[in-house]
Amino acid sequence: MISRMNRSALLAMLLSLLWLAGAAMDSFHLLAAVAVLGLLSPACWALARRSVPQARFLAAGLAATGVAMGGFLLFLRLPASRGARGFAVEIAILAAGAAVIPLLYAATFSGDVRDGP
Amino acid sequence: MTAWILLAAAAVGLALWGGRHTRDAAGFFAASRTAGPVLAGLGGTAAGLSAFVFIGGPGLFASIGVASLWIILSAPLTGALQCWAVGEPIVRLVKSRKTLTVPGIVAARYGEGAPRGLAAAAVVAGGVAMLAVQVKGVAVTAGVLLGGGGWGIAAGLLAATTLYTAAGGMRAGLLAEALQGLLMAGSALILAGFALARAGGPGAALATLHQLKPALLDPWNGIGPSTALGWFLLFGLGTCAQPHYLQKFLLVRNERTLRWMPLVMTGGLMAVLTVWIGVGLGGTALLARGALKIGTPDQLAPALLRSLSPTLLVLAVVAVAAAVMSTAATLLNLVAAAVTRDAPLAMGRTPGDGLALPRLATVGAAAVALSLAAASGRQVALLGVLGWGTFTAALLPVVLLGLNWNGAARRGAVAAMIAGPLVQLSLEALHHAGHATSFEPGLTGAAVGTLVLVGLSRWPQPALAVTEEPA
Repeated sequence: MISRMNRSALLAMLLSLLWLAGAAMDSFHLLAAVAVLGLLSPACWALARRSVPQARFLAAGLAATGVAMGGFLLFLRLPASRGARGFAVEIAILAAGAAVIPLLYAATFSGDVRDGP
Repeated sequence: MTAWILLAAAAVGLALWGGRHTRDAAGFFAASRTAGPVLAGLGGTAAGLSAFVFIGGPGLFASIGVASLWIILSAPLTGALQCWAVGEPIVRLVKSRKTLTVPGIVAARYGEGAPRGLAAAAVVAGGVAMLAVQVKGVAVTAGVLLGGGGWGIAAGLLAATTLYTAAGGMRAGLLAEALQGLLMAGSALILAGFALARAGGPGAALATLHQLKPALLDPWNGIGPSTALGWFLLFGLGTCAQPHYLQKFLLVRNERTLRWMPLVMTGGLMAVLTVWIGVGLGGTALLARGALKIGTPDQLAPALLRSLSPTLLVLAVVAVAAAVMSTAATLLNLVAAAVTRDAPLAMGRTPGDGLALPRLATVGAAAVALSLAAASGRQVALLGVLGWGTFTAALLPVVLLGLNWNGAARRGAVAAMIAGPLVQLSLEALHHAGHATSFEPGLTGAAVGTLVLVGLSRWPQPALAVTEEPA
């Protein structure tokens, strides 16, 4: 039976394989999936450890980063008349993420560094 | 001349203070583990940000436009990610093993010998490459700003940094880095604001690019999805494998220090990154309008700053000097630790007593980096990616996965630390020879290293015996 910890290793291995395949095929969709999942993997580890508050903080971080990525691709496709506003929104998303994510970490920090290998 | 006298006086003063307060290896390599969240957070940010941000970033913006932002898009997350994914396990290892160096973390996890030796080799190779980035960055800046003499200034700044780092190790280096981080953050905000104002504001700058250089507003411009997403991951997850970031977790006072470190790190990082966006966007718009003339992309930031007021010019030079010195101090200390402490321990020998050898190694590392910078013709940003990529390929699997997965085994770690850099350096060589591929070298090296680590590890593994490092 594969333990919770070993699932993390399998996830890392899967991501690595997907990354290599995506790069070999120059596939945007595959690479984008790895980019999102790559930053999601720490949240998966937190869930594997049943550390729900920290998984929540990492998922929030991922969401903020994903929105920033998506916004980046979307807003810069806008016409020039709306491009500046789009760029400002993109920067605002980054700034909001930078303010919220560290505070979420501090709020979920227990003071006891977790067990590991 | 006045600036040189002030710099020399500050370096000598810091060297004297550091020399007096640094008596042993723990003081030299780990600042006696006295750092709180502000000192460690600001120091970590300052050490991680360098000429790469002030010179390479805006230069890259001029080359490929907004596609360069893929490098900094993960910035809001990286501070918290580092503390959670690697900071907490490292602090736990420090408590039980008294680990002083980054290769020591690898040895604590996988055992002495080859794991420590390979990690030390990666630190030396990547550290010297990144040191060369600092030297070349300041040489380019000063050369454009002052019309020549850039290499003399770069050598002078490196000499000042080497002086206080050799005398006081991280005890002196961390204090200087924190002050330099504050200076960089404040200067970056001011410079970005003035650069954008000079271009007529962000809206006018974007309108100029849309009208005259629309390709610069394409998120994939010149690099394509593979490289863009590769950069995003390389600089997102890759922060968990950079020795100059990891080292700060060895210097913290206790585990509670970690709680507020991400806030300090991320705040400082975002403030400094405004220079990438502000100077990059403003300067590129001015370039498109013909208001600026440059020979190479790396000259964008210096050329723009030269066109601003003398006061801002001085501020820019000071900020770049602070960026270069803060990163150089940590890298010099890391390389000295790898050569004088980790290499002997990896070979089963006890490191020599006293601080004479580490001090000598600090000076030696500076000399090698200066030579490499003078010999390299690569663009500053790309040289930076080479150093960052080497660390990522060699250390990301064994540190990020290894510190969070019980099953990671010694033989897998050793093979991963060989396979990762081998793949990364081979791809770099191919790129350099003009054979471009869609594989981002550092990340591909890390992916191969991860496969090797997991594939060669046998789970479950027995826990390693906990022993302390020699003092």
